Amino acid sequence: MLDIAYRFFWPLLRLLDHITGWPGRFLIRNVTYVIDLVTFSNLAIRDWFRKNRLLDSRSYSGTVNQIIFTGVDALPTITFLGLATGFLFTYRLIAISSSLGGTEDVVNLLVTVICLSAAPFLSAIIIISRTGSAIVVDIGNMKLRGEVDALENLGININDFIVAPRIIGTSISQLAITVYFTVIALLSGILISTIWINPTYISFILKVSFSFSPFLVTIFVIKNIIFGYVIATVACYNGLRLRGSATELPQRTTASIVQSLTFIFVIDILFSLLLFA
Amino acid sequence: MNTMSEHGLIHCNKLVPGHQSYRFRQALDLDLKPGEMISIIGPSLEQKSCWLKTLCGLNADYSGELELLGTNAGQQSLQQWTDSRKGIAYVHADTALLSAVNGLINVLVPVMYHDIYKDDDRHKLTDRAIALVNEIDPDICLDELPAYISRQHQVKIATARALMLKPRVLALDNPFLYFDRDERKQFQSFINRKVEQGLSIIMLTQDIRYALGQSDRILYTDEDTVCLFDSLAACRQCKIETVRAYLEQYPDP
Repeated sequence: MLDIAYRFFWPLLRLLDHITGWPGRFLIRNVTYVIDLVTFSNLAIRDWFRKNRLLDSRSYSGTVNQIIFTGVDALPTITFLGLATGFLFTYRLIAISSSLGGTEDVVNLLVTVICLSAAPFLSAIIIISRTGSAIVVDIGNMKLRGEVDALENLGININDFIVAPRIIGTSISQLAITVYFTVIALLSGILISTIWINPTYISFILKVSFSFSPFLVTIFVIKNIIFGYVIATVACYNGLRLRGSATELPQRTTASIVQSLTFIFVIDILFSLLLFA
Repeated sequence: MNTMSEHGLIHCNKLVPGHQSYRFRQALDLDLKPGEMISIIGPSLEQKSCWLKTLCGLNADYSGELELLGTNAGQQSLQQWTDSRKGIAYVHADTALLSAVNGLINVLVPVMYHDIYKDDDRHKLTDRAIALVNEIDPDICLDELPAYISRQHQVKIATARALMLKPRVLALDNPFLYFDRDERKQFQSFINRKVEQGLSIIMLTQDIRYALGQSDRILYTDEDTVCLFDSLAACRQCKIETVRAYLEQYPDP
């Protein structure tokens, strides 16, 4: 009797265990991954500050190279996308909202939608696709070719030499790129609206500038630095996780892009809750 | 607390390396003196390489005592680990150069990172690097990326990169692998000059005649045997059958 009950219920229990166990395993895996990432980036930044002096220009060569690649080299793309956003979003937003509400509502919409949401998010997507993937391929290839091991054999700390400059450089670049993107997107959109809809809309430039409170500026800066920090951390982590096979490189690159996008979405939602809740 | 000891540059007592494929059965006692050259010989390249890496502190899997530049290898702080990596340079025939920068920057990167020559500006450092590379081989082109530099020149650049850190021990893992006869002789004479200047060398090579002829001491290793000989004559007189059989392949020139 007991045997029959066992045979009957055991598959059901297994199925139940599988269904209820999956969310637990999923949660544990992702929480562990986030803890790994935080530890990894903190160790890198700690080692960088241990080795380098803030006022010593020699400490910044790696970081400056990363800023040039992530920030300066990306300016043509950012300019084009800023202009496109100005036409697609800013201009349309002004056109629609000016017919519905007053000037103040339009300015609030521009600050909230363009400055605090669209610009950081679109800049982050550009940095993920351009810099994040490049970091994974660069570090991954270094790992595959044995360059990382060779550097360690020379007493060079990888955290301080490879990881930290990329994290710091990408964070600074993300902030700078977003400021540039926001200015281009707002200016181009407002100028188009001024020409095509109403010449008085040129005043939006000053109104938007003055509506930026210190709180909003702080949120803007922190959000962008976190975006850059997360993108570079995920990329470095995935690059260094390569073990020895070249087939892992595209897998790690894809994983890095997907993970970065997920993190950016989650962080953006958290900031939106902080800002509007 | 890991304190400095009075032993040689590399000191080991009852050292047995760990390896995933081999199980070494004998332990080694060794004390590497300044300006001494020790060659590791034996039938298996992988086993010799395992011994070399362990002696340099690059293989954490070992039993026994190992001291690197006076500090216990198993209890090193981050600073002591960095110092031992600077003081005991390890160069393999396949040591990778940084592919994103040219040969010259490759030589300069570690020395700039560790800030070894504090008073030198970039120009002086560059002059030092070029002089060292010219001493090894004047034909090396340092302006090219490693992808466009021949394999044998890459080995020499890797050696120069390690020597720029002013190490006290240079560990060479099969360094002549990619060299032709003339290049091998040129590099061997460079090694001999460095030993005369006081640099300690610990090396494994497939050029056994050179190893037997030039080394102050010879370390024979296989899975069952580890023997350290004070001279070539002592090595030749060894009674162990495997050692005798191995050395019979390399009669005196």
